[in-house]
Amino acid sequence: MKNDTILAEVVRHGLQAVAEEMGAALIRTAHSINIRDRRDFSCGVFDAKGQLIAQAEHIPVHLGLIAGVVSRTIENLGEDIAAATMVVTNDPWLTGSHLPDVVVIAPVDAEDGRRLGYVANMAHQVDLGGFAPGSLALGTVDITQEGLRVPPMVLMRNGTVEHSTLALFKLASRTPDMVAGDLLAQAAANTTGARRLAALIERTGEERFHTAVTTLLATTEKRLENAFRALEGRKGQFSDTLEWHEAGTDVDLTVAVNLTIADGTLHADFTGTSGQVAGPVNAPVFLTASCVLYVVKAMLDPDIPSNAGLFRRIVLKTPERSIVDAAAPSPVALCTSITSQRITDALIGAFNQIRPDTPMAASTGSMNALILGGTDPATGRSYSYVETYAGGQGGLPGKAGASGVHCHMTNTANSPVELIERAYPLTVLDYGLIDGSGGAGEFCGGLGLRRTILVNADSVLTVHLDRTRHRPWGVMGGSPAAGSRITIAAEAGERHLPGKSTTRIKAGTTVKMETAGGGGWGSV
Amino acid sequence: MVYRIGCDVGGTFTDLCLFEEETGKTFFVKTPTTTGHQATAVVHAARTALGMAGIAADELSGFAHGTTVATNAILERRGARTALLITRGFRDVLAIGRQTRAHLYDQYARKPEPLVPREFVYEIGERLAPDGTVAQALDEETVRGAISAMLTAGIETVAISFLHSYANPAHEQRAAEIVRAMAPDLKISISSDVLAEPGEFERTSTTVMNAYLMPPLKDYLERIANTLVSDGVTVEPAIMQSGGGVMPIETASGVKAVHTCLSGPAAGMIGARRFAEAAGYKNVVTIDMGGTSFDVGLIENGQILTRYESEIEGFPLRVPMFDIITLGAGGGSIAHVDAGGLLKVGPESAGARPGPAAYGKGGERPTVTDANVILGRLRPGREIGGGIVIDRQRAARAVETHVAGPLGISVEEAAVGILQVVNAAMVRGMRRITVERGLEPRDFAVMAFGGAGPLHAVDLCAELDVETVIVPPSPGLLCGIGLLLAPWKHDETSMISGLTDGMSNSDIRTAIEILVSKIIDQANNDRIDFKSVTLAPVLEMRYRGQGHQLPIHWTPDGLDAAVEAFHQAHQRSFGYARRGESIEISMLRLSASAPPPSDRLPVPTITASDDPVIARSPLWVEGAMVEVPVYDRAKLAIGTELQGPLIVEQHDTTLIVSAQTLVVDSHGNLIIRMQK
Repeated sequence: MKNDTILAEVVRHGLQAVAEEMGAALIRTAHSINIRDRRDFSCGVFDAKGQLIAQAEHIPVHLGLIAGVVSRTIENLGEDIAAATMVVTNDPWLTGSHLPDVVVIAPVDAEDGRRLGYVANMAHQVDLGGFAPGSLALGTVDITQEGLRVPPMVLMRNGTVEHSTLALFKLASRTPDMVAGDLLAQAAANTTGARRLAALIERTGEERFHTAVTTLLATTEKRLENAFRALEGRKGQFSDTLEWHEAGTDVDLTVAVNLTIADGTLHADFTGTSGQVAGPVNAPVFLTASCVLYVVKAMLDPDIPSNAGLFRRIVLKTPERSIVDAAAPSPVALCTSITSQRITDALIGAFNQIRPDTPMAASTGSMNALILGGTDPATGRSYSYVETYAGGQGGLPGKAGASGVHCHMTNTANSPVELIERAYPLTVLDYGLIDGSGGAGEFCGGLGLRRTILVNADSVLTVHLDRTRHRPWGVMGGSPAAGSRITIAAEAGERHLPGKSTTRIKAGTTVKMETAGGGGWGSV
Repeated sequence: MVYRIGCDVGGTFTDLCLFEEETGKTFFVKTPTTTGHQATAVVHAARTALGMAGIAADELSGFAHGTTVATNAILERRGARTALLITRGFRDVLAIGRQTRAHLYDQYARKPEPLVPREFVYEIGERLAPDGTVAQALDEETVRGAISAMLTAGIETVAISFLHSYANPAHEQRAAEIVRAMAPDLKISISSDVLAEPGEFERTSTTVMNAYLMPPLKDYLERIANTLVSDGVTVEPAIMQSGGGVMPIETASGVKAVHTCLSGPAAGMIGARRFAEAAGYKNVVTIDMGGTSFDVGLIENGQILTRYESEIEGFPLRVPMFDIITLGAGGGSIAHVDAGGLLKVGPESAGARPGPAAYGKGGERPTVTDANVILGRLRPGREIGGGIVIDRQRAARAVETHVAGPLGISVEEAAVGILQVVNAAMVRGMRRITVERGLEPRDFAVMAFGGAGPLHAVDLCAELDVETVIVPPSPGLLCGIGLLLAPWKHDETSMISGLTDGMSNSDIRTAIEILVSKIIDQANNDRIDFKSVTLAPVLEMRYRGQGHQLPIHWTPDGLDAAVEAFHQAHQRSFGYARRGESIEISMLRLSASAPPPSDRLPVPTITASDDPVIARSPLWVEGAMVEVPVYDRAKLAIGTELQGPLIVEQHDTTLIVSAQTLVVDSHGNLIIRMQK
């Protein structure tokens, strides 16, 4: 058994190489800036039981989503995925994410037909229909309004594209060529991954591979268990506020969590969290699980391998039909960009009580998404600009928060100003840090960002902001950060838009996004 | 007689090679690098070599030099006091970067602080549209105001980077003129000169780094040049670039200062390419394993793979450089058992101090070197310089305490495990450099160098089904010779972008002509005869909307041929081509090179002996210790054929061969044939 730990580490490198090669293939073949430059995707490698054994991570929010997606899909199909068949789905109750996050799964089989494992990747597609460009609209009460929702369908069979499936995605999208290109890139990444995984298993020998994988998951579990045992018996409770707007009034939704560490296992109970709402801030439960995993890694062991072993020491309890465990057909478009960040803040608040000597202040608390779409007057083609804006990181024990960085559940790169202006009917007037936006403290919070854009086409604007009223909190006496806001200015004058809204704007309008900073740590 | 010197400064040693061209005879000097004042060791080594060869300084007809002054200035933040002029509204471009954080989960990880603090970033009123048309004229008053402030702040060097300047350099050039007029002592670097490509953060970062490096490089290179001149050397030194070309001092301390900061591995790669070619291999993966890192490079069809995007110390850098993947796996990488019971090797390294346990310099934790010692791959009792004698007992104690004991296995099993794990990490790197480009590792030979490369090469190649391992003559010689074989190189780019459908052959030819005139200027500056210059125009092409472009050579056959070549290249790299799809050209790149003064390799320095076996020593082979012969490489005659298992030692590296055969070729390469 002890010798297996060497083999497990050797195989782990091989598996990681498979996941990395998939990521490289996706980046190189994808069409959208969103995938190729912002790297809004993740790739996973699975064993024959559908357990995650390696992941190429770019986006933390995908961590827990990719992990269970293969087994959930098989369960949904009612049978295993057929040989030489790639399946695609974007159903949030399978993927755990919103509709634009599309998952493609490929089985990996031995020559005699035995199932060896699976590879899968999740990538954010630019547009899959719905109310507004980008398929992340506000004003929805039902997921059918958000865009195309596809159950597991065949995308590739024996290396050939299933044209009806591809046509379905193209018909539903405002950017059909882009979506088709990205979907085929997702399939190409899986082809690469499947080939590499089969070769790795052949090189290692099936039995040894199986032993290695079993050991890998067991040692990951053990490593996490040891970290929890050091905190045995500790408890933490925290609730945070997600901003919502209903029937013309501001509504505060609660994300409440109780953490208990018992018998080397973390119990996260979200009882007390608000019920699901008739709007897109609901999250499927898998997303909530993803946030728990993220916080555990961030607070306890940033370098622990990401695999199914992580799940074995975490017990999740969520109230049904709540914003952290929504039921279909509630809309979920903002679950990754907003709700995930609030769940994370609540978890960090509770963890701060488990480790009261080393708390972290709240960070910008939203992915601050801006989506613009319309027809580019210069080309006559439709355009769709999607970008998430960074903010300030909360102050840490002994260290100020970083300024103008993506925090917690995302880490996508920005679009360079010069590329935005070359690709879209947009002119960026300024882009910089907002002085004074970080919470004061012994270790102050990082600064938020400001970007002002002149929109040169009649367009539809969708924004996802939180922390406009409830600012990111400080700890140990540190001050809260400045909040976020969006302002548009046109001939008619200047006005703030609600933090979560979809608005039609005229060519010539300027849009100013300002993101929240991070809370301060310690009194000044 | 024609004599040339190649001198490469590394982190630990300065290697200098004096080469007599007609006979192929070499004089080789290895001396410790004098950190902080590199010139001392360089001049010392040059004088020593001239003495060895018994020639006068003025008999030298070439002096090529690779320096780490720029790299060190960045690592230690000892560049000049630098300011930045930037388009109004964008002063935080360096601070924000691409808005990503340094580590997904580690909250304490940080991007590096910009080389220009925010207080020295000055916003200038001006604006260009993406096509280069002026949207807002240059506000010269804001430039003058910035200059006054810079003079007050004691700024030494200034970078100028305006939005879309790649499309029209006029505003940057005018701002530079004003600086020159008002502050003639300020050094200036403008982004449209350094990197005429879109992407404001990367362009600004590269330009700032160039400005930051100009003063220290100028100081250093002038000191070297002056000392050499006073010694009687009459040739002007040629300085190595990260892309593998050489340039004169004036260029290296001016517009291309930033081109020296990743030049460390370049000379070695050029030497490797030439030795591989001499051995008959045009497709080669190079592995260079030292104490702290493992560098993987790629030679495809005789060309060293080059990339245009990289980073140093977390700062992005867009200059041509050899595409080398560096992993934190070296002889000093420390092995430990993690909290879950998994055996991990690295990324922590024992470095030179305290070093591996077997070196007896205070290291207590087991390293990859210690594992090699336990398995007899590094011979116990062997002196390896610096007063270090390999001590197997210390190595065994460290492995027992930290790995074998906790895992409940024998010291030998643990050592085998440590090597398996570090090899797995290195195989991952070798796989990455090939398969990510649609290439199969097994189609390549592997050239292994560095202190630990040949120790691991055979095992790595077995994992990758590679057929041939080449071990060139000593790594130091590889660098010294590499410098002498380096061509003059210069790249220019043009942003001709658009769909191929809307472009004509004459559009592209016109754009090439403009770049040719720029290259003629640079060649004249660098005193290169343009008649000797070879031009390689390359179109960066992609399917419309796609992210990654592929470089396609422009030929006299024109656009249609380029389009067809692109489809084929895409098919080769990604497994599919979309012939119905529109194709975009994103950039034109014109690479110019002039041949090096010589292409000759040195004759091997071998004192062949009837008995090249210097010892017999136990080596771990297939699960047991076996007595094997240890050969002294310097005594192996050309044409020698040996059958493993065996060990070949030379002063700076060790080769392990197990079930393979080994041949010494006529250039002194050791060629190992792997069993299929």
